[in-house]
Amino acid sequence: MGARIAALVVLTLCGGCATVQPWERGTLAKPSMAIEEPPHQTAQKLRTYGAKEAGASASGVGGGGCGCNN
Amino acid sequence: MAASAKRCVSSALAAATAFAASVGWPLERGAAAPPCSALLLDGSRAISVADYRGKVVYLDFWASWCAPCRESFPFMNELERDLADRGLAIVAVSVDKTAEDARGFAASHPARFALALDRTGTCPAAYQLPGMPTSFIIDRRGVIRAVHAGFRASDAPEIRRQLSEALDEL
Amino acid sequence: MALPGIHARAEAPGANPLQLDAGHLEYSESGARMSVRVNQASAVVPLAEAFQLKANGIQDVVSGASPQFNAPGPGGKPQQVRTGASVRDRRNAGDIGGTARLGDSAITLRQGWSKENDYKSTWTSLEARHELNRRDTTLAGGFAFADDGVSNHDTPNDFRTRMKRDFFVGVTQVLDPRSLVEVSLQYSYSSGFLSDPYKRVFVQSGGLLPDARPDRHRQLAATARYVTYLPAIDSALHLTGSLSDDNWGIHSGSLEAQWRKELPAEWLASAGARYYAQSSADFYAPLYQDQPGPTHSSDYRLAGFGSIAWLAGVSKQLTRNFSLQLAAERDYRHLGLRWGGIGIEADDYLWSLYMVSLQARF
Repeated sequence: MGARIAALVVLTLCGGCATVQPWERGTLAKPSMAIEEPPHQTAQKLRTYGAKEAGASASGVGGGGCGCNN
Repeated sequence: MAASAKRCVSSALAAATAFAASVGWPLERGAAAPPCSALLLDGSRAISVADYRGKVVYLDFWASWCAPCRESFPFMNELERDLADRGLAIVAVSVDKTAEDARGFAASHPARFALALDRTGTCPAAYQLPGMPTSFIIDRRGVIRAVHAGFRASDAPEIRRQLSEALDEL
Repeated sequence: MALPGIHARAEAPGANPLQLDAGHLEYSESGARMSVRVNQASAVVPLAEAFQLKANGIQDVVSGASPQFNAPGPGGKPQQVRTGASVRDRRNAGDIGGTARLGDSAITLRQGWSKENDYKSTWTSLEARHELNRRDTTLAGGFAFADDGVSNHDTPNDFRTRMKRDFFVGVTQVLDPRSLVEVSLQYSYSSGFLSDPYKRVFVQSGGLLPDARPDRHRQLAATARYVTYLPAIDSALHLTGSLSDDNWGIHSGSLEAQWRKELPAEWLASAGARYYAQSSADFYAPLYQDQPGPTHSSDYRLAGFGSIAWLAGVSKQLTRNFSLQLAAERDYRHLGLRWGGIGIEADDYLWSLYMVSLQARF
């Protein structure tokens, strides 16, 4: 059983090794796919939640998108 | 269990090799410009980098979804206006997945230079693009003289200097 | 509650534009509880190719009645007792900072402050971000320190202090040409006067005691977000899950799903739902029969509860430089949806939020 779980983990990691080429990022560049919102929107919403909820949520990292280097 | 473990190891090795190849070695100055064929955006015919041997080629890879490309197009229009008579050929290849996307961008960013489309990803893979956009300066003998990853307005003087140098050679 | 500085996100890579944002938000709770009106403006000014200056300003006006304690009501069910209505409070907050880029890395430093007549805060945050694998992977980490002073309306200049430290790390990984995942972890440590100076607890055997919380609060939260494009409906799906735990006995979790789609003429529509649940603090009770221990609170925010929220928004690119966003949210708080712990039905309410914002990019 342990060996099967280990194999599943390793196989999953192997699947995640593939990188996406810079010219294949068209879909990720769509505005609907943006993982980042305009900063003030997130800040406002989180303040509303934070003031009322005792739980916390970790902050965003950003990234994704077109990956254009400039 | 052993068979799937072997498959995993071999796929991990293949992934690692592809990863190294894709990440490690961008095409550098001094390398021969790889072949690249693409269809002109107006659909009339196919062009290839080799067609421009004898001219200095500014080969630019762009896409409708690439934000810095909105600024690189006016810059390339300026290059065309200033340097075409000295033997500069600008070829801008889109990596969009549909002609419609590429044409939409071209309609709002008019270009005085050749626009082509490679939907298959063959040209960018051959040129090992490190990012989007990327432009290559190829001299009259088909050798890569410079690679510019990304587009920034501050790159313009350097690009002009490199083009001038290549154009001066016969 | 998270520090404002720790949630700053650097904007997506691309040209380095001048960015101006202005927004207005209205928040209101049912049953003549609290309402808040917020005005906000921010600017990102590129100073050099690799450097940006950032500034934010916020003004809140809070009005309405606030729960003070719970007392036995008809039939023995606890009821909220609130402060007199129309408490009006104005809060001014702002921050200034900058981001410096070096290759595939960026570092952001921010300094902020907040002032109301019974609360003041200064905070500093530092965040670093690095892109790898030709921007398929983004790593980020940061920390924020805040020092606060809490007084009350009766003795506005008598401040009791507290401090908060937040740390976070996270990674975003592109999985394939149409999906990515983001995982982040946050740890917070607060110490000092952490109680609410306006809240009381009702003791059956006699008297009202002030809200008294432990003087240390440690909290750990993990969030995972998965974004994928669904070609069948030409839309993006955003799924976010969060888990949080602390040393006050409160554990919580949330799950949110959002659908986003580009529409013709540069419209973007989004809609979604969120479920949140928490347990109650160890030292929470709606009210007390006998004298409680050294820590005690009846604050509804520390009670067990769950909530379901509906969200919707639209965004429209008006011209090449200007875009407009509208967003609305409605949230229903229910005792019955809690993740364990205790609470009272009198704390159930609903709130709504409406937000409009304008963005300019040059």
